[in-house]
Amino acid sequence: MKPVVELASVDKDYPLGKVTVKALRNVDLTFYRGEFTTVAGPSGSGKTTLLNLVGCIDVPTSGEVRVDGQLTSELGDRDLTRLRLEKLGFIFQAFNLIAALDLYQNVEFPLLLQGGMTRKERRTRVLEMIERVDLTPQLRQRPNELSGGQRQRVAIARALVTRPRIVLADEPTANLDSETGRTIIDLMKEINEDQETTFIFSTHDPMVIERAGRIVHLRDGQLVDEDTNSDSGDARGAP
Amino acid sequence: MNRHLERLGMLIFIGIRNLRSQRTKTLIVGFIMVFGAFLVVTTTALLDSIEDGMTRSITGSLAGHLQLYSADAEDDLALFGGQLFDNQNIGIIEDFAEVRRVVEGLDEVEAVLPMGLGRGTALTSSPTDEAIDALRQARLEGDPLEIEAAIERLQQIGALLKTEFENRLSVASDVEEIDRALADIETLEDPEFWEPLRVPDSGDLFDEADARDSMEFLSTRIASLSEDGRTLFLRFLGTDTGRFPEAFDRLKVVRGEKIPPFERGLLVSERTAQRYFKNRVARDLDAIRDEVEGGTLIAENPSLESRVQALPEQYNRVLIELDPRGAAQVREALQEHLGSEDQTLTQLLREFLAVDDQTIGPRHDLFYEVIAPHIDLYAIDVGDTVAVRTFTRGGFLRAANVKIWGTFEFSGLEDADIAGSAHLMDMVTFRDLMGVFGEEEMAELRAIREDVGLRDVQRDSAEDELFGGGGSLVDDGDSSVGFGLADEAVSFDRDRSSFTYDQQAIDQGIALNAAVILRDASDLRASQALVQAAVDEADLGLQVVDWQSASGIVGQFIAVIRVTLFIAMGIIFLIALVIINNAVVMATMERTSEIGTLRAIGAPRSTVLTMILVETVVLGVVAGGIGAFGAAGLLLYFGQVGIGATNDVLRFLFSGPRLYPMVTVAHVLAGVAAITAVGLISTLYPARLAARIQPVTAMRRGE
Ligand SMILES: Nc1ncnc2c1ncn2[C@@H]1O[C@H](COP(=O)(O)OP(=O)(O)OP(=O)(O)O)[C@@H](O)[C@H]1O
Ligand SMILES: [Mg+2]
Repeated sequence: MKPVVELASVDKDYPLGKVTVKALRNVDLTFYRGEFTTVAGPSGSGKTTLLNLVGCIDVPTSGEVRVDGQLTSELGDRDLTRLRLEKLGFIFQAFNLIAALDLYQNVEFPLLLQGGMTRKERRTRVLEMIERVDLTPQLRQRPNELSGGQRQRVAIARALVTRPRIVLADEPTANLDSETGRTIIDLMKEINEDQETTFIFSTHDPMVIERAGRIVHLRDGQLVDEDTNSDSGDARGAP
Repeated sequence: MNRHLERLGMLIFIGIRNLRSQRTKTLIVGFIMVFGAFLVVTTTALLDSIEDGMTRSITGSLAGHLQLYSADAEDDLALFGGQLFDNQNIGIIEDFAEVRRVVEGLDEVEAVLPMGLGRGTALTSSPTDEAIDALRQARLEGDPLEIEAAIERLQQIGALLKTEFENRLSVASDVEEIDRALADIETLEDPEFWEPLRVPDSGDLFDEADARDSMEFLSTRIASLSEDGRTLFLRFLGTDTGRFPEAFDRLKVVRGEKIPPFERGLLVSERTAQRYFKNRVARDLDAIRDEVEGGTLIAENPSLESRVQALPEQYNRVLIELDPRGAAQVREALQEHLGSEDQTLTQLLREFLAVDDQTIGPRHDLFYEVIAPHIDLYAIDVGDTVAVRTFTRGGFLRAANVKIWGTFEFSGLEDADIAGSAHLMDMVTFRDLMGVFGEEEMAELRAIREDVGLRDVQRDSAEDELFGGGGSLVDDGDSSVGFGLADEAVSFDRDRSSFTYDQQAIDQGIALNAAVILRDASDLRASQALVQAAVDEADLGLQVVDWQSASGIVGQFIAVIRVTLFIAMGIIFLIALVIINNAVVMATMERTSEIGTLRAIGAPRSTVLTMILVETVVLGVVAGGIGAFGAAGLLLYFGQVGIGATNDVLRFLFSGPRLYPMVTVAHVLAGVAAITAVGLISTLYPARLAARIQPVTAMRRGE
């Protein structure tokens, strides 16, 4: 089993006026290749904070975070950006699509940032990805012309189009009805199984937790418990 | 490369879409940009057009492309310097012939002309003088009809003078003097006064005694009461009048003829003649007619209105010029025109000159048809010989009789004051008037020196030596030499107006400065350096300046306006900068989440920076383009119809009554570029702010 993300004695403090909010306390955690992990916990428990650290958009106050072997606290903005672009994919609770661009262009955008592909190669990859999330008929529609579920599927396509090691999703179903949420999670799971991509997502949603291969429980910034769902499992197979 | 282009393409696309969605910001910034570009294009194009016009009027009239003058001149050459700087000392060019040889030897140079600006006065005779002359002439010729006419005219003048002095009596302080004048004038009412004059001049001294007394009374007591004999100020350019028309090929003779080669004389500026030498009534009628024809209503323009109101009171300027026969014809014509019968000529003239918007046209025409032929329309006119008086630098009065051959204007510059600011005078007369000596005079001086054993006379000090100045010219006190001092100082008063000379006389002598006409004036700097090198090589001790610095204040005028306008534009841009900056900062803040997302999914800071800047560039090009093309359209329109100059300052700036602005692609591009640059500068700060937005902001809930 290959570790893709390692957290060792991680603390994350937010200074808030005179007091300090300890968002994460002494977290030791490893994510492996192909895992389909849910970070669960009540509101304010530190789920988003954890994903931020793994997603290289924030660095720990103390302790070490390694993403694909790289120690994030040692990297500057430029290298962290590069790391996010090459190794990570993001799915947001509020979808966060670029309003000015249509579906196709939203999905294409990360590939343009990466460069190194011909227009044709890019087109094939983008269309393939859109087909995968089943949005081919909506190719030229703008985000505000799509439903919430469709938008989140665009976000999934955008996150996956660069074939990242790790996909991070912060409460991906929170803005969706439960039926749509379920399809989204099933889609993510399918991709996880196809491509051995590591999925890490946070949620309060029991339906989502139910479908996770591995469940990490957070409370008050501390790791409290860990489960595996024997019936659902994940891409690396049951432990 | 390709990859950067594709990314840039996407950023431009986002920019355009975003401009459409953030409409308020786009409208605010866009409006400023439209306005800014419009301003840049109109001001630069207008300035360039004005400068172009001035360049043509300056280089095409007097200055040429380059000017040469003494390297150790005390003052800078200022061809159009104006009153204040006219006493400039620019030194002299000792040997113009050598300068001409050296500089015209260059391939780039078309011609070199000697020049020198001077100013002087010409005294014109008054109508009273002329009437007295006419009487004297008539008596000599013995024509009784002519004698009667002349006497009648003088009596008429006496009547006019009487009214004038009686009017003056009511406002004057020195009543005594006016009473004396009135007593003199009343003498003319006595028929006995005229009796001895009514017979032809017998030539007999004894018979003529009474007539001589009367004539003397007229020319000493009466002529001096009439103010119409005027001292005219003349600003003249001494030059090679033979070659001048060739070098300045815009020169066009309006009346009379050019000064024939190697003749002395003056060619008068038509514009100056029209504006200053013409009879006051004619000038007023011209001016009023021009304004009204230009679409102005008299009641609308206060200065025009007061001119119209003052006009009828100018009747005596016509009346005093008319001899009895002329007066009769004018009277008849006016009676017919005005449809009235039993009025005096004075009443008729007053009524005739009370013009309005409708009558000015026909009356202007009638004036030239009926009245003008009977009066001296111009104080000095083609064919006259005038005595021009000047003061030399040493302060001595010199005079020369100069024949007026004709009047000139420069085509395309007919209405440019600058171009018509000086009359043209032959170089030989000019040297006479300036008190500097040609070879001929130097030889004369040397001869005198040999005769009486004088010290060596240098050209520099010749004037002083001759007319006083410092040391004495004569070694031992006996000044038997005929050269006069003090009141006889007008030593060149002898009439040489008919003398001719040759090219050598023009070239071999001094000049104050010299104009250089280039074959190709596109690279003035290079040509200037080339000419300077040539004169240095020949050790002529001259400096070479371009027309712009040679023309004095006028040449720098444009530069001053340009700087002023650019400062004003800078201030406007500064305000625009603040407004654009604010608008873009606000707009960027609205996009924090979007920008955070871009950063989170892997867009580097530079991409965010570029995205914001690109948007401004897009807007700058579009809005700037609208403003610039709008301005260009407007300028093209005015390029057809022209912009009227409503006052003298504008007339001067426009080099005429209308400016026909030109606009080029360069102006449009400059406008778009300038406004885009201002936009970019104002967006730098918000773009930096945007680039600093943290990727975590993307994770915050809600959009
Ligand atoms: N930028 C911040 N500044 C200050 N405090 C913060 C900041 N971000 C998070 N916190 C605090 O850290 C703690 C953990 O927050 P976090 O957002 O990770 O919780 P969460 O588990 O994601 O909660 P939710 O389920 O409501 O999203 C909370 O107490 C929160 O108030
Ligand atoms: Mg959260």
